[in-house]
Amino acid sequence: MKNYKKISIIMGLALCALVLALTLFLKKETNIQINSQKTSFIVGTAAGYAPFVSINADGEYEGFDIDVARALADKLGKKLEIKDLGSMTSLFMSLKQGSIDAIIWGLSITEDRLKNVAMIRYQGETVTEYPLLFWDRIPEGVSSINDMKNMTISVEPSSAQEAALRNYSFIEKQYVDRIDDALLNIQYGKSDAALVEPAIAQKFQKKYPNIKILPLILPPEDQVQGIGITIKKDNQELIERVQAAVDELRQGGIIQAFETKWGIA
Amino acid sequence: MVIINTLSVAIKEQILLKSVSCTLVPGRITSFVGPSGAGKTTLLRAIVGLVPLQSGTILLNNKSVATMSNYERAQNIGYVFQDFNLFPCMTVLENCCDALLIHAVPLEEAKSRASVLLEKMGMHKYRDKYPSELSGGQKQRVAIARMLALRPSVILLDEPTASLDPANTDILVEILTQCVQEGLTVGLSTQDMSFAKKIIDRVYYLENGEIQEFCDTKITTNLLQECPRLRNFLHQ
Amino acid sequence: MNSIDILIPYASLLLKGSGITLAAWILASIGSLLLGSICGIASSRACSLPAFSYPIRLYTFIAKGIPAYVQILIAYFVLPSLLGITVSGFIAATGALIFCSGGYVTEIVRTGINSIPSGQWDACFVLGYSKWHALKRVIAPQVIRLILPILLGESEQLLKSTSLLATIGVTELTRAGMNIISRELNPLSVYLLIACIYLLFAAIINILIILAQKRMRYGNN
Repeated sequence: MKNYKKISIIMGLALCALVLALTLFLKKETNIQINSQKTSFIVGTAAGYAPFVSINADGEYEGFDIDVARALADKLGKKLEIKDLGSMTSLFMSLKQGSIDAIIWGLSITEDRLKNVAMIRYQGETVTEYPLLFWDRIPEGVSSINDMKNMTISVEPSSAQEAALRNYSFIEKQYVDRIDDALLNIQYGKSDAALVEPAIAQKFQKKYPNIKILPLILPPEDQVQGIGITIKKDNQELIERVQAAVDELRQGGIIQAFETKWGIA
Repeated sequence: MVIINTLSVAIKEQILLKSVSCTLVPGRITSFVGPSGAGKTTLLRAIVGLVPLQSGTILLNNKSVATMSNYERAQNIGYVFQDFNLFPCMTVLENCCDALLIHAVPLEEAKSRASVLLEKMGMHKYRDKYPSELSGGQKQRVAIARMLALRPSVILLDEPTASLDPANTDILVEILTQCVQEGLTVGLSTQDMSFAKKIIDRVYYLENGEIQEFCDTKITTNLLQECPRLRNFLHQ
Repeated sequence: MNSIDILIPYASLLLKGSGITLAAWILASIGSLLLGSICGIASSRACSLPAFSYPIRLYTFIAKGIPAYVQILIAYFVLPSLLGITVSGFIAATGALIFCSGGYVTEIVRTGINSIPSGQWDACFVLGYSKWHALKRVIAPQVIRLILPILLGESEQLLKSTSLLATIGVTELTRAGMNIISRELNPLSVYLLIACIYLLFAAIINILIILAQKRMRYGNN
């Protein structure tokens, strides 16, 4: 019986070692699909982020990013395929594995992200400030973030907004799983304020005009160069083609038309 | 007829039975008596195969029990546990039938055999009750019926009076007397002196895993002389 | 803003989301029950099969030690590329849930079987039952009665875990709701509605268990 035990343990460990070795090996995979050989443009995104990407009552994907993706696919002469990956982690894993060609999900272009992936700006000017949202009224004596000692601000973890708050250690950060929950937080007094993207601030203020806004000025290194289409760095060919397509779409006023349609500044 | 020859049982270095030799005879009640821990229960469990043997043989009608399949041995040797071990999720009738079904007896016949036995034990009117609804004495009678359903020629009972009151003990004595009259080989272990005296027939006295004395009441007339330790034990 | 009217046009989306949640839950429950029962029996003391016992312990160690979310990610991203196949998010995530929950069910079943007094096995032995017959006719009914409430808890846990399917893009009930909230900004009514639907599902299994327990009274009041 002791032999069985030894064999089973050894087999189990061997299996684990094998799995580990394979995963490490996979990291160096050269599984880049040459774009020109494929007929579809596979775009990774995630629904539930109106007005960028959401599912309408008929079950169809719609939103600013969807329209951009469709227009891009047209320009590239390929069929658009939308893959809903549900979350940030899954999107980046998919991109890395090569099962999607690009992520179009309203992602802010930040220095940090540019270290790992290529991002092609398709919307938004350089953002020099983020909106701080208050419910109903701005507290007495507060004219900028520096007056907000020991106050709480709701922010999405791992977002560009959270990164911007690192210079203000006297602020108490309150994490929200989804940016829409930030609205709940200020509405019900769980947070003093919320720090969100400009487009989201617009969306909230449209529905609840009583929201007041204070700008949070960003230092140059935190400034965001708009939102970008995210592509793997070594997929040079696709990067160039998408850049060219985006330039054409902007010149033709198409992207601006989408901005108006979806209420994005 | 069961012949046990130089049976030794040990579990993890502890010796429970040392070279025990004895016999169980048809039509007689063979009791194993002795103080607690003497090895009586171990001996019975060894006969029925619940305990592995270190050495020795057990012969049933000159056939080694060790060579029998579980199935075959069950049809020859029956066993009643000290805590009965009735199946809690089956009714009394089902408890008695189920083993028969395992042994390829058709359902109707199994039911009727079980019913007859339960009738003999006076338990037929409880046939649809569950063991949890029965008293100790009632459970024992069901356990005996369950055992007898397979019609074994040898029946073993481990400390049968452990959880019985005097009234039920008398019922048990009646049942056992009937069994030997029908020619069954009966073996049992007990620490209950008054019960031992009531059913005294062939008695082995065990202590420390060894048979110290043996007494056959049909042969011996003077217990004090021939089996002093046994007599002392019975008259404590 | 938080009235139910807003939700009416989204009824089909919510229905679809509920359907996916229900399907994932039922499949995972049945799958983990089967897997867990087999492994639990094979690794129980009475059915001692050392060849299976140690690998199964390794399995439960892994299944219980890695968070379900991570197992889903592995099932959806890592395994398919190792095996060179593509699987849908639903299949991968449900499979991961079966694997994960199966580990817990294995422990529940094994503990249940091990807690049956050895006297029951002995009684089966002396009556000539094979191990399989003993398990099926005598031991299993007792084990089931014992572990049914615990299995219920595990199934309720599974129901809640189905929301993890959202992280790889499957639009189950919670995610369908989040999508609506992002469009209409009416979190309260959506959260309430979704909570009610989950409770409805949970109620179903609670009722089933109560009915099953009634049938297994066996004379105990």
